[in-house]
Amino acid sequence: MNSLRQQHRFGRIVAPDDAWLALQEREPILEPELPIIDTHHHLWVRDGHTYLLDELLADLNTGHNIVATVFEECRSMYRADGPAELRPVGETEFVAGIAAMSASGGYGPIKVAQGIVGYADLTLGDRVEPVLEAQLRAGGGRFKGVRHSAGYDPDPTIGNSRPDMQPHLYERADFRAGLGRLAAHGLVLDAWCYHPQLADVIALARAVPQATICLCHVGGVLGYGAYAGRRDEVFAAWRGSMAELARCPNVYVKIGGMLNRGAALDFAARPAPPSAAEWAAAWRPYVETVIELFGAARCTFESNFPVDKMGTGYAALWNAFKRITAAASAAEKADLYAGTARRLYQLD
Amino acid sequence: MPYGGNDWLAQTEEATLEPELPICDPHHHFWDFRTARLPYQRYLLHELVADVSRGHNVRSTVFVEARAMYRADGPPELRPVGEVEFVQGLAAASASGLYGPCRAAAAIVGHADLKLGDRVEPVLAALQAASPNRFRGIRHIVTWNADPRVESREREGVLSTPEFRAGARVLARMGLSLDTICCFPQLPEMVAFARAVPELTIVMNHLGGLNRTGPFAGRDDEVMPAWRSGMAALAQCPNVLLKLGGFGMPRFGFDWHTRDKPVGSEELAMQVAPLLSFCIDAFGPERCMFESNFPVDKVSFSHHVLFNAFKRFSAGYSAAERAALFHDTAARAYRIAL
Repeated sequence: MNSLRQQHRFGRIVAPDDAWLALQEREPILEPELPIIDTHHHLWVRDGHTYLLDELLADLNTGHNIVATVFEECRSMYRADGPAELRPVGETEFVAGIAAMSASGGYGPIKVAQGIVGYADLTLGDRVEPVLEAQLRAGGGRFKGVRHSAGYDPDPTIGNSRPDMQPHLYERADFRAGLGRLAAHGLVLDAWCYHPQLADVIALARAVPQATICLCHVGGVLGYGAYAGRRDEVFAAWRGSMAELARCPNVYVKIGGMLNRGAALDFAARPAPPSAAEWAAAWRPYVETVIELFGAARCTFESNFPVDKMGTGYAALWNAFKRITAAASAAEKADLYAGTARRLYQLD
Repeated sequence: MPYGGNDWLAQTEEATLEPELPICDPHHHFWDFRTARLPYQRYLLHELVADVSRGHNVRSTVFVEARAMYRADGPPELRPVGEVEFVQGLAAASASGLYGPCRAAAAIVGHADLKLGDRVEPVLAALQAASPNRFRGIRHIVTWNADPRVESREREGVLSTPEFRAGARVLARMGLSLDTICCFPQLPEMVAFARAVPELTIVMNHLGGLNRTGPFAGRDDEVMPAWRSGMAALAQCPNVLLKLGGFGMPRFGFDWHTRDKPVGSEELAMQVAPLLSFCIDAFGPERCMFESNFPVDKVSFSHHVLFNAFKRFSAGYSAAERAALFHDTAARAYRIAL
């Protein structure tokens, strides 16, 4: 068998392998009552892989108490024509439609895409204003923020956020002007970059203190390419940057999305997916460090599905998180799994 | 084999006639979990795209409300906003180009209750906000008949009430159109309504609500003259446009849905020709548009066979008249720039 999964390289996204996922060790759902807001998932039809409402709901309804979700931009359903800067509005229209289907009650009680994090090119500076206004209109009350990714690494095996990505996006004056516009609307910036770039996020958070920034995927720890075999060194560098970033009160962290870039486990080479216990062991140092540095009130879990479905089923993913937080207080858990998300993205 | 399914329809396959002719299909629905009598419980973007991508040049479509995806909560008058939000999402997916060149739901007709009178204005504003770029009007079905075999959707005489007319005036003032359907004995009431609100563009659905079943079965000698005189009077109202279709619904009495093998376009065109010719003579092609009424009419024929039938039927009209019937009247009425 020569599946897409077995050809997998870290940093690339491939369609999940359902037959292989079915081999993952099953265990009872931990804390099945705990309300969860999944703060980061996608909806797409991409390279023949369909992940729309049916597919998402099949994952959400695997035993954990998911009460709502936040859609994260992924270049889905952009308008085929019209002004380039407005094409991402098509994605928000599309997702608001799926949210409306969910809100009809016909698909169960979960509020799918109760929040939408879309895309707008913040390097437009002040000219991003009409784009943000169009996004807010298209979202019908659900548009909560913008993700503008900055992932860049000089190692070509890493894979940047865009083919034409330049280093230090977050240092650019035009980007910061655009972020000011975003903040004026009370919208969140979802930031995404790799751990060697965290100094840029720190500088950004200080330069635009009125902006609320949520750093995706625990700060983008890299574990492959030039970073392979340097786990302790990478961890120390990442921890140092995160400690500095945690001093910026306007920064939140999404916990999840560690499976692919982090490369803690070479999951694709396995005959069966790693168990929840194995994932928990691999991720525990990062999760515990982030919660210790930022506090539960500034941390929120995310599934990053279907990207992280490359290596784990949805039920096992949340069991892994729950294993890590087993000793947390009830108040901390309430924040980590739902409360922080509710405040950050102003859900309800 | 149950009528209306794709397997049943596949028994009648035809070559596409005039595949270049541009078409705007100005009337179809989207829904899910539709269990009542229809064989199409799910009709979303994939299902529509499959139907309109069989060879005809369907460039755009118009969604018409069907009580789908209403909000589960909130003020009752605003619950239909959920339907427009939902369809706006499918339209956006289509506008990405991922599903081919047809722009599905390029225009959206939602629902608001015109009986709210002046209070319909915030509902219409909410519908517009849900789709700032595609929302074009509402449909309010006013079908009523004393006979319980006719599915009455409104109370008797609603078209004459002050509140309904006040709501209609708000609609017109906001630059929106009214799609509607009645049962054909109500056509004189519809004429009076159209005259009372001349500033409103009214799009009469489905050949004016002809019904040849239930209380009207076997009474063509009374039914057809009543329908013809009603339609002739309605055609005198310049603010009324007409959708030519809906005859696949069993109430039109053709019984195609009961056949072992679905009807072909030649026979279909021949059977509906008297109805269509009468309407086009009365309204003129520039006020008429061919519609699919899918998936409701899918119980009787495929989308592909239906448009072959429209092409056969209209072969004798001029190129300009056919452009109006297949595309331009709809594109103008619903302001579709494609």
